Amino acid sequence: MSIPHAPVGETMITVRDVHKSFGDNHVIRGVSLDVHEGEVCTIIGISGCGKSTVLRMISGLETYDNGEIRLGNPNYSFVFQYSALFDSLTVLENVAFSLLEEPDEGGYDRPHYTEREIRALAIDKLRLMGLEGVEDKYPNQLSGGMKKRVSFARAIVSDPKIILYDEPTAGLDPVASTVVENYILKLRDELGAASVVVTHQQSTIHRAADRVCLLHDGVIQWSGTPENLLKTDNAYAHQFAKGSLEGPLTAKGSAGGFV
Amino acid sequence: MTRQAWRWFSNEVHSILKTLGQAVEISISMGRFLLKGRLSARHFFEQASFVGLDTLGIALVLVTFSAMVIALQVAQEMAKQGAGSYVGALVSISVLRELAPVMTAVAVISMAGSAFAAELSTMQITKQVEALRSLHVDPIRYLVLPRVMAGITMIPLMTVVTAVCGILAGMVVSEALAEIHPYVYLESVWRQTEYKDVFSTLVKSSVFGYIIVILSTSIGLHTTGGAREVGVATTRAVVWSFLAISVADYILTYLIYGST
Repeated sequence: MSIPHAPVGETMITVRDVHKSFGDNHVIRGVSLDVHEGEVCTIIGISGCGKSTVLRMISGLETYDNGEIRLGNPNYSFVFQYSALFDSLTVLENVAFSLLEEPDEGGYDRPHYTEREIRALAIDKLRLMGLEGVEDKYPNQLSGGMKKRVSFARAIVSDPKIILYDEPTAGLDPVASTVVENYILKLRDELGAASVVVTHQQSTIHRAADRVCLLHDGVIQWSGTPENLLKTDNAYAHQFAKGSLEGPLTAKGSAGGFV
Repeated sequence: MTRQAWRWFSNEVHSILKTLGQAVEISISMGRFLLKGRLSARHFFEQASFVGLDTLGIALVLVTFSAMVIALQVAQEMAKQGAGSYVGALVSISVLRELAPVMTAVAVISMAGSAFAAELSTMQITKQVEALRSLHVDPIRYLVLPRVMAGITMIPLMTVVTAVCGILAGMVVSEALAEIHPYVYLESVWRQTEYKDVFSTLVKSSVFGYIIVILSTSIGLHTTGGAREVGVATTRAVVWSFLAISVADYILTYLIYGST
């Protein structure tokens, strides 16, 4: 079990009253959120509630209609749900990518390393993720769990100050999930990064989160520690924690009650 | 039925206009990166090698055999009419003005254009393009610019090579079937071929190269959906490239030769 620690560092992610519509579908209706240095904040909610949209807006992969998003540091990384490794590059090239390629607009000034230093850094990050001897393999030669860890290594090779995880444990077995959750905590502790984790896995919430934000109907309905998620009287949080069919959490298209 | 046909037609027109708009948008971004000197030499040479070396063989076969067919069709007949000394000119003009640029473009569409569309659409649907953006690398600078520059530079070079081979192949056929001496053939080529014909070859092949790569990459980058859409995108890139170079060929021919 992780030891939740109170946010003490500076605010790294500020989200203020952000709105987003896809056509007529007003998905995000005023989300506000602060994430601090060295904090793991999970965004939870039922499928299709807009969790990934919030994450994508924070990263700049998605635009927003109204509101404001500020990042305390331009050095951020995104870990994709299905790893999104570059399949024509080797594992080493994937991990070293952000050090080899000069950033474009919106990027940050990366330190210049020699090729030998880049290789050493990439191998070091792979080792941190428990991967050795896979440098010259291609992504299609790896298992799902290994791909996930390579994508972690790629995300942290530039020592980011903000890490955004989109469902990092989705589709993994319980043991692999625990490994990934441990890495999220390890990165929090070793890099001091502010992390936002989108998930609906109870194990990830309880093992990796310092703070939980429950998103529904386009707004954050509840926010608190993982322990309080089990104790709170908030109807949304209570229903989510219990996995109950009775309550205000409803799937899109259902006439009432969770379907 | 009429309504369905109209709907299909309007969807196709909408789709074509949308792709053209996207291609223009990508071209503008690409121009900005080019002006800032952000073309990666390593990526350019990788793509130039793919477009040039991997496609040259097919282009050579297409142009050489097309030129041989023309020589086969006209050499004996013209020799009989006492016009054997014009065979070289006829073959070279046909090759330079049309066969070499168009057949080389056909080879590039089949080999490189389809590969670009398939690769980029797969990258798009597997979120690799988003991964690039998340690593602060612009997909247009990283994926499109080197490919387009490779297309614009390599296709004219390939066209020159295929044109020379086509003209020489016509010479071999003319000598074998109509006993036209190579000196007579080459003298005819030299005498009748104008700088304008060489200019036409280079301009057409550069424009075709740009059209093929910008359409293929633009269609690839804007693919949404799953595996089926990768196939649809690839087919669309090939078909639209064929159509676009046909239209461009007519316009360029009119602009270069139309007034004379």
